[in-house]
Amino acid sequence: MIDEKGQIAVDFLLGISLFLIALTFTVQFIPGMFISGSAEESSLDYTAYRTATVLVEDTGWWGNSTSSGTNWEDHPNNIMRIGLAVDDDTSSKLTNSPNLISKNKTEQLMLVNESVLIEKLGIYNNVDGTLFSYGYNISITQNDEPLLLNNTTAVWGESAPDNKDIAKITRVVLIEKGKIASFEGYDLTSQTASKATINITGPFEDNITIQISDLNCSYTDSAFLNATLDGTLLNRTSNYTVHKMDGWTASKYSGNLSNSDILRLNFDHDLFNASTEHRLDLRFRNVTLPTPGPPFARFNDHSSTHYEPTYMTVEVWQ
Amino acid sequence: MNNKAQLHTLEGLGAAVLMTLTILTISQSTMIVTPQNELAVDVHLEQMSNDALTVMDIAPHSSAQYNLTECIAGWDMTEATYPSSPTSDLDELDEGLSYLLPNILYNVDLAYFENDNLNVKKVIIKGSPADNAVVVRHFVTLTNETVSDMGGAWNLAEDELKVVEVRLTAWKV
Repeated sequence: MIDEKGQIAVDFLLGISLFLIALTFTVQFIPGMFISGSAEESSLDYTAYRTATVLVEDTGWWGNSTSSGTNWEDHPNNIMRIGLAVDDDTSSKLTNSPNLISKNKTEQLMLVNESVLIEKLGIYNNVDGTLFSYGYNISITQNDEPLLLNNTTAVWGESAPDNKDIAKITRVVLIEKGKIASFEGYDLTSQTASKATINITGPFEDNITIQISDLNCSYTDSAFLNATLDGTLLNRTSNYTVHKMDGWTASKYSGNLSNSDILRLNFDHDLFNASTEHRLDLRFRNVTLPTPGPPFARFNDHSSTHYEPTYMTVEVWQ
Repeated sequence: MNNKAQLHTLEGLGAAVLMTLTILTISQSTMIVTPQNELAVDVHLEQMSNDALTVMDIAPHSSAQYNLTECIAGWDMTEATYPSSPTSDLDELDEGLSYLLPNILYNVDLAYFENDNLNVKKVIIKGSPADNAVVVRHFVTLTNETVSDMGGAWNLAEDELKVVEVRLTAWKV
């Protein structure tokens, strides 16, 4: 009688319930299997991309009830946005120089409270109104080593863990590195043969660089010999360094000079502490310096901000 | 009971648990290892290539010998041939890019209009692009003055402006 009514058998009911329970359990237990392209990971990618872009391409912004501007490094208590790009017009929110990184802003970023940094750069996840900050590592490196600014390494956050998914973005940037003055051979003034004299007025916050190109090296044994400041012979390692430039690549200078060589001399800023005019003599061998002095060429008339290529890496993880 | 060949309840439950655990083990051990997804790797490469062109473009004179516009202005209008002359006349551009893009290979094309025809010239050839190559572009404007300063072979009139698209195809080795 019962069989003829076509009702669900108890066996079948039990079977289908067990199957549904097992299926539900599977779906619940392994959520990643059924969601294509897990949303968690891509939001990390967006965060890393956004953070790097904001730092490199934005100047930042500060504001209070009366005034505002892009020079947030001078108003650390009223920061609205953090950005490191150089700006020449602090009242405009735009910059013409993305990828040029300001040294002052970078140094101020080192002093910024970590919670402010996380909040302003948006390195957190917002889950139903509760903020969970991501782990992050932001670093500026040059020749695979962290950049040193005021004896502090340009690294923020903690080092990246090995056992987690990490979203990483690297940006190529130019960072301010003190002052540089470029001289061509005929710009250099000399009082005695093969000795170029440059007047330098201090003080400087950072090391200064003198770049010399198009030297008239008339002999095969033309060379750079030494540097003297106010009559005192300088030490090639502790007071200054000399490099030959080939594009962006610098190699330590030794040996002879030819007409096409570009010399770059980097002087310790402590040498020019007094705010008086210093006399720097660069002694060469067999180099013709056509312009007689005095008056001598002045470093400060030729100098501009020196930029060097570095890499900024932003890593973000859960 | 035996005649009906039914699955015992406990056997079914056991099988389900075993299957779930197997899938769980496999998915846990493989999915986490993938460091970044395809898209993110492409974005990363594109961003770096774009940065390299931007940095070449905005580098102030004292910091870099020649900027992007000057490099292009100094071109002698001969195309690159591979492998005999892979960088044609643009050694400075090549040096700059190879310094800024370590472990990345790239080709550079220049695209510009001449007599209403679009010319695309290969100027740096480092090989044939891999499957994951990305293309980034930057525009430079040449004038007669920049060209003659750099000793290039662009034949421009005194008041002519020539817009050139620098097309960088980059890929990871």
